Amino acid sequence: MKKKEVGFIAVMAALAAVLLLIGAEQLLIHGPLGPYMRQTEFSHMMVELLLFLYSHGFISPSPLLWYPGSIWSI
Amino acid sequence: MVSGIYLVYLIALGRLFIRVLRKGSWPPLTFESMITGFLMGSGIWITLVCILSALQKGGIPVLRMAVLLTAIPVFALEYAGFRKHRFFVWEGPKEAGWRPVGLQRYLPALILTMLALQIGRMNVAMDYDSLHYGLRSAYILDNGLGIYEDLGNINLVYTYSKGFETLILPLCVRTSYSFVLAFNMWLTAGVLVTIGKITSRIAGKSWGLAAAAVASCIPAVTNMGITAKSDIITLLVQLFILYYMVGFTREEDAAGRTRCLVLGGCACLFSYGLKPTALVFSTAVYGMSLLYALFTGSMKLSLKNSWWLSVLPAGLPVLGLWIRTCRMTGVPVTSVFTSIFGLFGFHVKWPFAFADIPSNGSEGGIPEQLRFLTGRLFHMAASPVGADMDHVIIAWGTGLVAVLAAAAVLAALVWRREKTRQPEITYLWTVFLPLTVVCLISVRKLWQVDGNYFMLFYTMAVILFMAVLHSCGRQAVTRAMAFVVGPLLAFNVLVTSLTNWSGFIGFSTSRLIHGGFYNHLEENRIRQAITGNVAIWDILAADPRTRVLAFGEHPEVLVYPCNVQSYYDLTGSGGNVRLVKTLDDFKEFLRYAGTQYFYIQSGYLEEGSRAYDIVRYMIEDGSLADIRYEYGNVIASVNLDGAYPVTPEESLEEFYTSYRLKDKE
Repeated sequence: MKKKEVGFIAVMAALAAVLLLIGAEQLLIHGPLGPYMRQTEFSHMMVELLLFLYSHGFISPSPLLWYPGSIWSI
Repeated sequence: MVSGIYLVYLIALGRLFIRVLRKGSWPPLTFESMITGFLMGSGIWITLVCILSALQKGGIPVLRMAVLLTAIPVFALEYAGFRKHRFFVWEGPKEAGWRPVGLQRYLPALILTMLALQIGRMNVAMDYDSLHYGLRSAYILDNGLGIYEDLGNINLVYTYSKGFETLILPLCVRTSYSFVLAFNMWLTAGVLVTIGKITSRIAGKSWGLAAAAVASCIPAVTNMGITAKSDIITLLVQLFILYYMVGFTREEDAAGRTRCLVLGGCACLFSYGLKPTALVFSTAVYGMSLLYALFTGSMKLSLKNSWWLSVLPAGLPVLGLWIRTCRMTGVPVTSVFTSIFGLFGFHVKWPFAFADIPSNGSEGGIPEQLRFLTGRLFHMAASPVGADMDHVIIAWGTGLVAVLAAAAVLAALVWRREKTRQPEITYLWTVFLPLTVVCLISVRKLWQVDGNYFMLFYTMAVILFMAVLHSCGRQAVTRAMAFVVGPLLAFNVLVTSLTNWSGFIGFSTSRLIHGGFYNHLEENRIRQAITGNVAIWDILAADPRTRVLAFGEHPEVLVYPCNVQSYYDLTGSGGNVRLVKTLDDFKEFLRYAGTQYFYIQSGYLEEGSRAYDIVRYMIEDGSLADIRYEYGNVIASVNLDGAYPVTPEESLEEFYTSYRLKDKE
């Protein structure tokens, strides 16, 4: 592949990854879809586990998720 | 199935008109002739309803009879033509033997799954707007005497251009909403097919299939399919403009160009009768199309062309619908356009009062405004969270659209010297870029943005992405982009599953034995009976022409099978709060509206509220009589003319003791 093609794909992949991560974090865990995700035991447990690990310093969320309004920036 | 047959009837009716334009020759069954048939058939039907209504011969049973009587000759003529010619050109001649290969074979399954997802919850996910005005046409649009009867309803939503609602009047069955919703689902499928066909015209069938599959995964598109709102049909007709105009760029003779340009204009004109905002978006799309034709020197038209006559079935229904709105309100188009019509000498009639564009009120310099716009765009693309995003999450474009739009722009810039300059793509850019500007202005200006406002932008982003990527001709990039888009599609499937316009999660329970339709009337009756409204239901259900003002939770109180408007209709968004300023003003409105009953929901009125005071004063001066109570709910006859004997003091005392006020927090 040419440099142009690689560059194009890299930019698009990065944009898609950012939007996907933020969308998933905001909507599925903490956002308006959070309550639905918490309706099942498994997904509820996963959400609680993530929050527990973060609050006790076991995980450090990606700087990507430090945008205003993110749960990690609270 | 009933709604599907009705759709086929409209197409056949329109094809009959095309036959007249072609001097009796039967039009082959191509995709173009079918969408033109739908456009013309819908226009003819709405015009017929307008004529019947002008003669006060409307009424849904009459309209159904008209469908039945005309369907027989229409279908017979269509069948005769088909038998004679046996000419079915669904596939383009160049790719007649095309079949999907590899992963493409799963795309139709994905499309069907996304449609099935919506069909599965269609009967139980009725949204606020549909319950407010989309599903109650039998009471609030044509209640026996046609669409020109003033039914005394005050809210803005009752004055919209009711093209879609008029079109589906024969499907408005009192017992079930499903026929209307199913018709909208057919149109949603039509949207996906049209997206596929536009892309096919530019890039071939494989890309067309991919475009339809990607569009089916955008919640903003498919989630609107199970509403009774006019968004889907408006989008469909706007896509018709694109379809015709993409055809225009390929036509070489003046006759073909004239046909495409005129039909594109017809689609634009027809959309004005469907949704007030079409006045901006459709005009922008068609206006840019005309500019494209002008600047590329392809505006060589033949004036002696029978297709010019198709302006009649597209324009007459708009005229008929605008007359309705004008008779009621004094202006042909309501919503945010009243001030524009004010410049031409139109005045809004009492008791209506329409606001201008609800601005978000953000002021400041350019940097501040840019910051506001960027923040909003970020939320719309990545994270629709917050008060002003409530209507985005339920019809979301998702990050997928942002990626597709960005990819289309970037690819066109990177490979600008190659085939990305083919005329169809240049045309699409000519429309897409101004449309983006209009959308950005809306995002910046509006206080609350709705996801469905940008459906045309979303679908155009899909089409452009496919067209540009195809024209680059790089297999490796295409394959890599499939891997980029794949996870976004999976995310979109999840978001579509979890969201819809009503916020309901789950599917209709399946029943093996049923009457062939979902009985919403019975469901509503049972729901009201549970809240202690058995006798009240019987009183209000006795006559569908009964006019009621309901004090209760909106739109829950609108489910009674008669002409109900709520106190929120009167004083909330789209209403006129000044009508309750004084008791005399309010009584004058009641006379105008011909209100026969007050219904007051248990626990709705709050001590000290304006609504509570109004009810008390009305009882006190004998304007409410024959007051009956049922488990804290109230029904009372409006007695402005003193037709009922009253004992105000006793009635007021009884009201204080029998009506259950809202609990104090």
